[in-house]
Amino acid sequence: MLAVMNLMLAQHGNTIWYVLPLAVAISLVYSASRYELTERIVRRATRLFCMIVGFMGAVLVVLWGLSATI
Amino acid sequence: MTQDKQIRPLEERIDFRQRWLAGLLAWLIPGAGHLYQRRYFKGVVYMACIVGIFVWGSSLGEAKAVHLRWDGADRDAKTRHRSMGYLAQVGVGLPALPAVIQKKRWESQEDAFDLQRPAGEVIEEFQAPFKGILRDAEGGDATITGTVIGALRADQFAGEEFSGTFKGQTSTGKPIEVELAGMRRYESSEDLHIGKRICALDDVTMTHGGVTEGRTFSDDRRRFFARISGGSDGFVEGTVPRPVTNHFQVPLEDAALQHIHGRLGKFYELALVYTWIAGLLNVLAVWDCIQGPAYGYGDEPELDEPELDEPELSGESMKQKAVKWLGYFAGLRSRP
Repeated sequence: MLAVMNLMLAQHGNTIWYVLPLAVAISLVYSASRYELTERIVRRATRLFCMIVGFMGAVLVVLWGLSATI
Repeated sequence: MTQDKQIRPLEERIDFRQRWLAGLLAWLIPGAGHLYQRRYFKGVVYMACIVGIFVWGSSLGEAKAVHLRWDGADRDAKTRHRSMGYLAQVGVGLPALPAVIQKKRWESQEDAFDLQRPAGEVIEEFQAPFKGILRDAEGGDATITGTVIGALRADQFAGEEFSGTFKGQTSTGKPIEVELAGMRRYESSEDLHIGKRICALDDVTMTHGGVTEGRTFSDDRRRFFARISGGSDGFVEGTVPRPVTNHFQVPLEDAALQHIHGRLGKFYELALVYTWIAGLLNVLAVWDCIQGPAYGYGDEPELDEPELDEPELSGESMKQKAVKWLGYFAGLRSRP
C-alpha cells in the first residue's frame, strides 16, 4: 500500500503533495490530544487540517506571486 | 446536564487505569496505552497516524532514515557525527529502538587493524552463498555461484587474513572448486577485501573484474574479494549476503550517507521529516495517556466557537462576519 501511495504521489512530480497525509496525521493527533469526544476530535481535526492547508496555500500564492514579479 | 458534565473532573469520566503503565505502553507502541485504557477511538487514531507516518517515512528513505550515530565527542575531532534527529524519532518508541542496539553493535564490531588482537584469532567464520566472477590464472573470467567456506583470522602484523575454499559452478554449469587465500594489512589491500559484517550500506563495486560505471552500494550484500591460492593472479570477486539484522537501523557511514542523499535526494529529506514528526506526535499521545486531554472532555462549549443561539450572533451569521472582515482586509470597506 505504501509503495502504491509513493507511486501515486511521485507521479505528480512535486513533493508538496506529501504534505497532505502529514497534515491529516498532525490534525488528527493534535485534536485527539486536546479532547476526548470523538465528534469534537473529528470536527477540530477537520478545521485544523483546513487551516494548515489554507495557510500553506496562502504562503504558496505569495511566493508564487513574488517569483512571478521578480 | 452539560453543566453537570463540565464540573466533573476528567478522572471521573475517563478510566486512566494505571497511568504510568499506560504512558509506557503509549511510548513503546503508539496507541497501545489508549487501547489499554479502553479509549479505543483514540488508540486507533494514534496508532494509524503515528505508526503510519513513521513506516511511510522509513520506506521513503529505504529504511536508512532512522539511525543513531553519536561520535566525535572529542573537542579536537575533525568531524562530529551526531544524528540529532534521532532524539525526535525515538519518541515513536519500539519501532526506533533497534537503532540504539545497532549503534552499540556497530561500534563494537571488530576493527580490522586492531593492534591488540592476538595473531590467529578467528574474527569471523564463513559459510556463505557467493555470486560473482572468477578470474583464473590465464586471465579468463567466468560468472560463478556457489558457497564460500573459510575463516577470517587476525594477522600477526595487525591485519587480517582469509583462508578457505570456494565450491560452486559457472554459469555454463561447469563445477568449480578453488582454494582461496588473502591478506589485508592496509585499507586498500589488493589481496583481500571483505565488506563489514555490520553495516547499513556498503560499497560493493567490482573493482577488479568486469566493467562498472559508477559505484554500487548495497545493504544486504557484502563485497568479497580474495586471491586464488598458489601464487597465480586469479581471484574471486563478488558478494555474499548480509542479514537484515546486520544492516537495519545501523549507523550510516559518511560515504553511505552521501550516496543515499545523492540517490534519493529530496525523498531522503522527506523520510527524515516524516519520522521526526511521527516521534514528536507520539509525545502528545503519551501526555494524553497520562494526563488526559489538554482542553477537556469535549462537550464543553468552545470559546472560539460560540453557539448559534447566543444573542450577539443571532442577527448576523459567522459567514456574514467573515465576508465583512475579508472586505476590510481587501480594502473595500471600513473596519467591521
